[in-house]
Amino acid sequence: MIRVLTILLLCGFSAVAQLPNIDGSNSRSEDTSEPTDYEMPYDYRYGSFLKIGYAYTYSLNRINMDYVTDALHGRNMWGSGFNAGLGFYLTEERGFSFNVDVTLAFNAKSSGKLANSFPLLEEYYPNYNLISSEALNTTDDSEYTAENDPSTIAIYGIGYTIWRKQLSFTPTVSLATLLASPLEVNYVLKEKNTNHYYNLKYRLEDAYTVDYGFSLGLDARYQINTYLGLYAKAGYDYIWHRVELTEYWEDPYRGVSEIQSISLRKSIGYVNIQAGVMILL
Amino acid sequence: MNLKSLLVGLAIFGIGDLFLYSCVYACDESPSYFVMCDVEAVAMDNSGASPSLAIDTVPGEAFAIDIIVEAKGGEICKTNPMLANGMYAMSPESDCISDYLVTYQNIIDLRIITLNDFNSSFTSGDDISTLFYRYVGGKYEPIKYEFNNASPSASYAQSTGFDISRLALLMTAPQYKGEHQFTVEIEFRSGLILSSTTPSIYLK
Repeated sequence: MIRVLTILLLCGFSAVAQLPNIDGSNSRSEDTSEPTDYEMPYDYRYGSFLKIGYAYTYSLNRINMDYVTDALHGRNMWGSGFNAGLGFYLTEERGFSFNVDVTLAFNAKSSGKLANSFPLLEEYYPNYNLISSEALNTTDDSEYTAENDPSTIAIYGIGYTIWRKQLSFTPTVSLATLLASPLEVNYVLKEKNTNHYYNLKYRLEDAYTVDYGFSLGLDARYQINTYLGLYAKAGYDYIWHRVELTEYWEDPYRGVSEIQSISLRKSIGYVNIQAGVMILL
Repeated sequence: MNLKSLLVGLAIFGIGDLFLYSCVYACDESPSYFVMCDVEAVAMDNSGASPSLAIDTVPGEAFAIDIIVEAKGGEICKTNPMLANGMYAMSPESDCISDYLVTYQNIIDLRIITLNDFNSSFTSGDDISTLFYRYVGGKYEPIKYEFNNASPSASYAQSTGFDISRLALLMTAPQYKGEHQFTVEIEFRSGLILSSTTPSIYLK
């Protein structure tokens, strides 16, 4: 085990890439002294690769925490988009093969953000009617829609690779981070049976929020030739969301406003599927 | 006619055509005008999420008056449809109307007069327009200054007229519960006064 970890650390700092030798006759390990139940098609020991592809993710459990988090993060997180990754691999001829994999994946989007927060908000404020709402990007005040609400999930993982000739399978354990975009949500509330309107605003304290979690995945790869391969990966990510925000409550008629800081926590599970091309460097 | 003469002729015709075209479509950027022709005061119940027509009884703190000014593009309220509008349609200026309107009618006062005793400060016949506001853009604006511009397309206003509607929210409930009526008066510098009275509504 110590040996494995040592080699793994070394591969993480490896900057030298060696090309695998997978041309037909020489696609096996040169060590043929004893048969194995799987074949190691390469004789390289370590190297790196670049992955370019497409990814899709979907949250398994809903946020459904309160109207604030539903408005800020949406009830369901989902998304698809290009992903790119850089990896290092290490293979020993007889028995094991490891990958260290960094993948920046997809634009995670939120569905039903404001709409899902309405009933919760009116439940929270039973003496008020919700008149209007909007979500703004705080960097340029542009209005968010389902199409321009990107978050990025980054996965840094290691995995044990099992080779089957040109095919490989790698169960991975990873650290997952979610980079949420800056956001401000504005509501107009009206007190029932009066003409009094109130402005309610929630604003994320940090321009960008980074949430952490872990990821389990299975990475399947098919080596086409020396330089190119195809990959597909299915994973489960579990991320702890942390929301630090400021609430502004304003009574514009009386000219009174209140400000308070709010801290929220919620963990969400995601499934993600990636597929694309792998280029050996 | 040789080819050279033909080309010169075509060039002269083209330049002349361009000149005429530019004359026809020379638009100035001056705004178009509208004129306010009538006013209607509608009693509203704003106790719910959105205002609705008031029927019989309204909470005093949720009473509002929808002040609807009937306006028309141009400078006079009534035009002969057989002459004025037709002549206007034939004018090349019809393509040059700006998209915003102003009125040459200077409003010198907008009054909302209570026809009943309202509270200890305002009795029947007093102007209580200072108690009415409009909520717009996250702010409350005094209703007095809400009728000096409009933004329908000028061509639409010219052809059909339009309404300027402002919801005047009563921000102070009457001290005396009971039937209340209000008269809205818009007074212009010319001396013209447009007025309308709400139906009687019980403010509780």
